[in-house]
Amino acid sequence: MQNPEKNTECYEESWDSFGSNVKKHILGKLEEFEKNDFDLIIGFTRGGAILALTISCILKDNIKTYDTPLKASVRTIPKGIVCKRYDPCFIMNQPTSDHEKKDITKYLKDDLENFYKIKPNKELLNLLVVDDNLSGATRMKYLVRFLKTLLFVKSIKMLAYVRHPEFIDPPIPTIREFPSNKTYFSMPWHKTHEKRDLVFDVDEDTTKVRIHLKFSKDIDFDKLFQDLSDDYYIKKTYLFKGAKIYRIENGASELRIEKRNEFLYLDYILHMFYPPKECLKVLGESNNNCKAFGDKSICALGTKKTKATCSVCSILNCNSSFIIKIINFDNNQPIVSFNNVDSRNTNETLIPAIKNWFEISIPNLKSEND
Amino acid sequence: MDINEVREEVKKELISQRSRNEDSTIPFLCQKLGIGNEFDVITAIGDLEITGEIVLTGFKTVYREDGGAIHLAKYSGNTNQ
Repeated sequence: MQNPEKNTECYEESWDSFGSNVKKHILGKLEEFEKNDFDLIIGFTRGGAILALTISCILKDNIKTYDTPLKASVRTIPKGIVCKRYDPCFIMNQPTSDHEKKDITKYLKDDLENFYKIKPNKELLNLLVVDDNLSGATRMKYLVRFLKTLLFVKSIKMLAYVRHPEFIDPPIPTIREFPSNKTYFSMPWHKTHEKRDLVFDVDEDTTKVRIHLKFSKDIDFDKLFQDLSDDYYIKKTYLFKGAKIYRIENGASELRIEKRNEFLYLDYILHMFYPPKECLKVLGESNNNCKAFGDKSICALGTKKTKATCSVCSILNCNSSFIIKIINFDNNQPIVSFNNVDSRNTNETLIPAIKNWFEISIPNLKSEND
Repeated sequence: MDINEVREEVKKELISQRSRNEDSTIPFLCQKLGIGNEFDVITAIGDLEITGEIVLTGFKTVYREDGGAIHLAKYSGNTNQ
């Protein structure tokens, strides 16, 4: 096992460097910060909270217009007692952890609106959303999308302390550059960890599966999608090759539904796969006996562990309520079947495992060949 | 760009990469093509996979701040076409 003290791939930021970089960044952009006139700084979890409070203090000490109670106030997400929570689905194919999502959708709007109401002259709010160490920025984008729906918000800016160079879209300003000779970056409040990954049975596997749902001919698809859009983000619909396509955005994965006559075809599109934290092993370990979703883990249902199958596991389990809602929408359940999208690297164990997942998740499931 | 234009640009880029024996992640495609919304590229990828014009070729691995791996899907034009 690699000695963490000799970890040459991880850049370990110090408290001194963090503080002086944040201060230098703000002092170098005083006019810009004054113009932005931030009412509230919103930061995610511990790192975001530390950064938000640091920025708030520096703004208040150095810019006169911020030296008032109602400027550069801080709201952390989630609110309440700050602690490190355990959540195996954190930033997998959900936009945020369950706890953060509940805070954003249930409490944040009221908190912001109450803050807006106490401001003199009912000026709309200027918000700064911060996070310490970004990669895909999934939860930041989710939060900003939510904030844009609020009528009392005038402007939203984003700022991160650092961002992994593999992720460049959307461009988010950072306080410092990612060190060019390092693989990953650790903030001062984090113990440096060794590199960790899943232990795969097979290294490369590009199998993709399509899920077919054959409904009865009188199904009211308009009502189904109306019901779905109450809970899930149906971003766009368009026509493609004679079918109507629904684009569902949920965090780091995207689901695509193709409606063709009485069929719905459910496709997932792989983008970024963050393995479940509890399944990660230090590189070189051989124990791969992890099942983040218990009996509903795809690897517990008869398939080998590969990047493709683990991705499918996270997509199915993190979108489980969405899939079940579609299948149970009508009293007459659809007939479910599957095919491989691409015939090149077919992992023959994947379709049977996905079928098992559906059968465990949905009692009395009707599948092809029943 | 509308979705049809994004799809054409993504297809053109991935097919030209196929001839150079390269492949791309979605963030890389966004930057290369100047497309601001990654979900537009994801949508295009989804459509082109179904038509068989592009394929998933594997994953690129990077590491996050706690050392945990992130696997980014890579795509290329379909060599069987």
